[in-house]
Formats: sequence, structure tokens, C-alpha cells
Amino acid sequence: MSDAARKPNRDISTPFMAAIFIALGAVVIWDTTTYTDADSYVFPRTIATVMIGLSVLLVLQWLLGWSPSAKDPGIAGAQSVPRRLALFAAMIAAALAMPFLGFLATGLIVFAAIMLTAMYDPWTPYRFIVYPVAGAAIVGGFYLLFARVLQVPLPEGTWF
Amino acid sequence: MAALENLIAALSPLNFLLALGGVIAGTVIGSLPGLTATMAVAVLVPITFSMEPASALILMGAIYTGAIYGGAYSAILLNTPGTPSAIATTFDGYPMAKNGDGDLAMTLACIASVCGGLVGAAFLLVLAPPLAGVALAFGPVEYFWLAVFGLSLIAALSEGHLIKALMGGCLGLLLSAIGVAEVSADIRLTFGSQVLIGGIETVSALIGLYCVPVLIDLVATPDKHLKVTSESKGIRLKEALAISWRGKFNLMRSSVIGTMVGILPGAGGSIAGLVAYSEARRTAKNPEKFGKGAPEGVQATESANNATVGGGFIPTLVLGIPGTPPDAVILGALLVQGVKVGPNLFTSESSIVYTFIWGLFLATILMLPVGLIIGRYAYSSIIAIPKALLVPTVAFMTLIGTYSIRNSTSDVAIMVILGSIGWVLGRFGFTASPIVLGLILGSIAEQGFVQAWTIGAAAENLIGMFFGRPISLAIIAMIVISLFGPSLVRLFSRSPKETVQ
Repeated sequence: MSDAARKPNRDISTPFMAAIFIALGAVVIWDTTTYTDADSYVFPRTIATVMIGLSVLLVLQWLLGWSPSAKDPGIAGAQSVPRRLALFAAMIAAALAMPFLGFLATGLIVFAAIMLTAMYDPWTPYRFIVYPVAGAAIVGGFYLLFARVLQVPLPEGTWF
Repeated sequence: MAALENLIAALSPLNFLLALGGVIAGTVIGSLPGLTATMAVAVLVPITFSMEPASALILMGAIYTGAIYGGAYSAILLNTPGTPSAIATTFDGYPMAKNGDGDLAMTLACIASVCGGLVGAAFLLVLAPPLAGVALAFGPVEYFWLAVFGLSLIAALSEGHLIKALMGGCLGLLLSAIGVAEVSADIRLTFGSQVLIGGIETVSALIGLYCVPVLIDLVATPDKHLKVTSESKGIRLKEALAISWRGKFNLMRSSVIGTMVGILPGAGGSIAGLVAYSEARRTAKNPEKFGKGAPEGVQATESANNATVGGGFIPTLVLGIPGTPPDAVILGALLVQGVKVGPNLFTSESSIVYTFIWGLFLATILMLPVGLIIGRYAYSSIIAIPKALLVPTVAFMTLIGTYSIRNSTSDVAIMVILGSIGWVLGRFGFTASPIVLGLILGSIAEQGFVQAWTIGAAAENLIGMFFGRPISLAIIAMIVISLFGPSLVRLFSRSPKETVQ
């Protein structure tokens, strides 16, 4: 066997993820110690133990160099990290802002924010007019469908 | 003669319009992520109170069957199951769409849904009273093994990373345990958070785990959402019919599986789809193509989940036990109508039941043109809409759909966070499907396991409880075949020379 074949896989993401799963399993087992009934803890404790065992197995597999080729967790240069983060931020902000701004206002703002995030084409006069109008129509249409037709009590907002 | 009268009654102009309108409404509602078939039926149920019982049933059945089918749209085009029944449709439907065959996948889904719906309705028409006994033969331990059978699909979805897939399955099972324990009511894994006491809502988690990673990747590049080929016409009916004919055994088997699972109270379309998908993969000539855009996968799931409609009505009408959640809503509506469900319903009020069953056939057949037309426009809209409008529209749909399930902004935040975690895990080789399988099947597995354990312990016969019942043994055999069958077949099909080498 060549040295290259003996050399363990240097993909450090595998043991890192295994460590996270082991920690998660340990937290779950610790939490199960507070339950009063065996019916409550037998299932999560068993699953957490299995998960820890699998994580250890994953590390062993990595140490022995038997891991299937790991997917590169890095983000290619052509892909935009700030846009990804902006999308996440906009969606989580929408969830937090809904009770204060109301669903309609939040929907319009988050739609505009994500539209800007996903925009790669140049802003022509046509797009400048049509896209916001289309966005308002989509948000308004869904709002009416859910709030009026389906009678879903969407948040009204406390700031307005 | 009475059958002919019932058929004519089902084809009356009013019932025809109700079936048509119900299918259209159900398909549209089911296609929106977050709006399930149960919600579609529940929202529209008040309309039926002033109708004749048979007409009311036809409308509700049409909405239900349309909604189950509609879930395939967003599963195929957005990788987000519109309803939980369409989870397994994402496995091959979305890869097909990514490869430029989204229109073909949509048409295949429509044909498969119609086939499944017709088989389910045929079982309801011919074999309802005897088949209702199946529902009573399933105890907690059978449900436990059925859930394990569903979980065995993790091995098929591992994409070469079996350990990581199993770890993902465990994570999903633990997520399903968050909140109040179903059996003993202990509060679990909330770490003092009020928000988590209600548990993780399954449909919200589905939307997050499947849709948010797609959105995160969509905004990262200027590339088009789906590949569009010169053949993309929106229907591709001839090609889909040819594929469906070639996969007729798969369609029939999946439809029967869907009907049988539909009969089991609480199991529902998601489990039916998963079990049928697993069987289709196990028996396929090229199982390695599953998960990468195999039409057989879409056919299996879509025929099975629509077959649960007819299957679910069997225990609902014969025993008064709802087979699926929408059946529970329909059962409530029937009680409001003054219809007494039970074994005698098929004799004392046979005109209502049989008119409804013929109406269900009618609605299912109408689903073909309705589904093809709506599907064509859905597909052409998705490929034509600019990314700067598509991404915010889908994101907004996930927000409003998730909120509407429990009217909770916390669910929306959980959905976004879970989706982002799913994206990160995906970067490290942990795919979303095993997590989702664990999440969906966790409560069924736990409830069945704990109840069976308690009964077995009380009877001092734990082994007999888990391994001594005929139906359990049959399901265990299917699990073993599903997990090890393909490997054994490959092993024994090798020549001795190859094996030595």
C-alpha cells in the first residue's frame, strides 16, 4: 500500500461535524435525566445514544481513511455569500417583525429586500416599474387569499 | 340497476360542477406550501352544510383528491412538498425538473395521481366492508414496524454516506421528540423555551428543510432556477403516457400500497408515498437512478398518495374511524349532515355512499385535464418568471404558508432557522431527506414503541409482542428485504470468479 493510500483523509469537516453530533447527543441524554417517566426518556435517550455511536463510527471511518469522498464544504468564488446571508437575514427579520409591523407591511418589505438580493440583471426602466408592481400584486393577492378567503388571522401589527 | 341510478345521480350537472370546482380548488390550495389537504377540506367544509349529503361528500372528496395531487407541483418545481404526502415526490421530481424534465415530471405525476385515485376508489367501491377489518388488525407494534419500514428508506437516500444519513435520521427523530411527550406528557428538549413546548410543526420543518436551502442557493448565483430544454412544452403527454404504460406494474403496486396504508388510521399519504417509493426502488432494474430523476419514483409516490384518498374513506365510512386527517374533517361534516357512518351505511343509506363513490371516480378522472392544464401553466410560469421575482415570491409563500398552519410567528422563525441548518448540514454531506423522514415518522415510531413496550411488559412477553405477530413479521421481512435484498442479489448474481477477485 502506498503512503498516499495509508494517509488518513484530511477533510477536517467530518470530525468537526461528528463532534457537534456527539455534543448534541450528550445534551439530549442530559436533558432526559430530568424526565419523570420512563415512557418519556426511553426513546430520545436511545436515539441520542445511537447518534453518538454513529458519530464515533464516522470518526473511526475518517481516521482509517475509509470515508467516502467528502463534499467540499467551501463556497465557490462564483457564488455570493453576502446574498445568502442577506436572504437569511431578511427571512428571519420578517418572522421577528410580523407582530409589530403586521403581515402585509412585513410582506411588502421582505419581498422588496429579497427581490434586491436576487437581482442580477441591470435595472432597466421596465424592470424598475414592473417588478415592484408585480411584487405588490403578489403580496397583496396572497394576503387577500389567506386573510379574506381562507380566514387565516394574519398579524395586524402593533405599530400601526 | 341501483348502481346505474347512483352513477347517473353522481353525473348530475350540480355534482359534475362540484367535482370540477373541488378538484380545481384542491389542486390550487394543495400546491401552496403550508396549505395541506386537511386545511383545504377544513376551510371549504362550511360550504357543504347546506348541500345534500352525497353532493357534500363529492365536493369534499374532490377537494381532498385535488389537494393531494396539487402537492406535487411545488415538490417538483420548487423542491418543497406542497403537502406532506408529496415528500417523496421531491426525491426524483425536483432532480427531473433540474435536468430539464419538469414538464414531463408534472405530467407523470398527474397520470400517476389519477391511476392511484381510481384504484383507491375502486377498492372503496368493491371491497370497503371486508377491508375495514385491516384497520383493526393494526396495533401499536405494527405501527412501530411500519414507521421503521419508512425509516429504512434512509439507506436508499444515503447517496453513499450511509452513516451520515443515519445520523441525519437520528437528528430528525430527536426533533420529533421536542415538546410535550405524547404518551406521558413530560416536557422534553425545550431547555426552558416556551416557543418549543408546542414542538416542531412538521409541515413548517418540511418547508424549511426543503425550500430554504433551495432559496439560499438560488440567490447565490445568476443561473436559471430550472434547466429549460428545447423540448420543454409544458405537458409532454405522449411521452408520459408511454412511460406510464411501461411502469404500469409500479403504478398498480404503488396504488395498492397507497390504498392499504390509507386504510390504516393515522398513517396517511406521506407514509404511503415513502413505502411505495421504497418498494419501487427495491424492485427497479436501475435502483441507482432513484434520487437522481427516475420517473418511476414520481409515479410510485404520486399514485400511492392519491390512492390513500379512497383507502382512507374505507375505515371512515365503514367503522367511523378516520383513515387520514382530512377524513376526520369529512367525518365531522357528515355528522353535521346527520349521516350515521358505520357498517350499515352501505346498506341503509347506500344511495348516498355509492353516489359519492361514483362522484369520487368522476373527480379523479376530471383531475387529468385539470391537472394537465394547471400543471402546464405552473411549469411555464416557473420557468418564465425572472429570478428577482421568483425568489421573493417563493420566500413569501413559505412565510405565509408556515404562519397559517398554527398562526405562529415562532413557527416561521423555526422554519427559517431549520432551513438554514439544513443548508449548512447539506454542505457537509448530511442531506435533508433522512432528517425529514425521522421528523415525520418519529412520533408514530415512538408512540407505537412505547405502547407496545408497555403492553408487552405487562403481559411479560416483550419478544412475542414485537416479533410474534404475523403482520409485524411480514413488515419486518419487508424491512430486511428492503435493506439487504439489493446487496444480496448483487452478491449472488456475481460469477464465482468475480467474487474471488
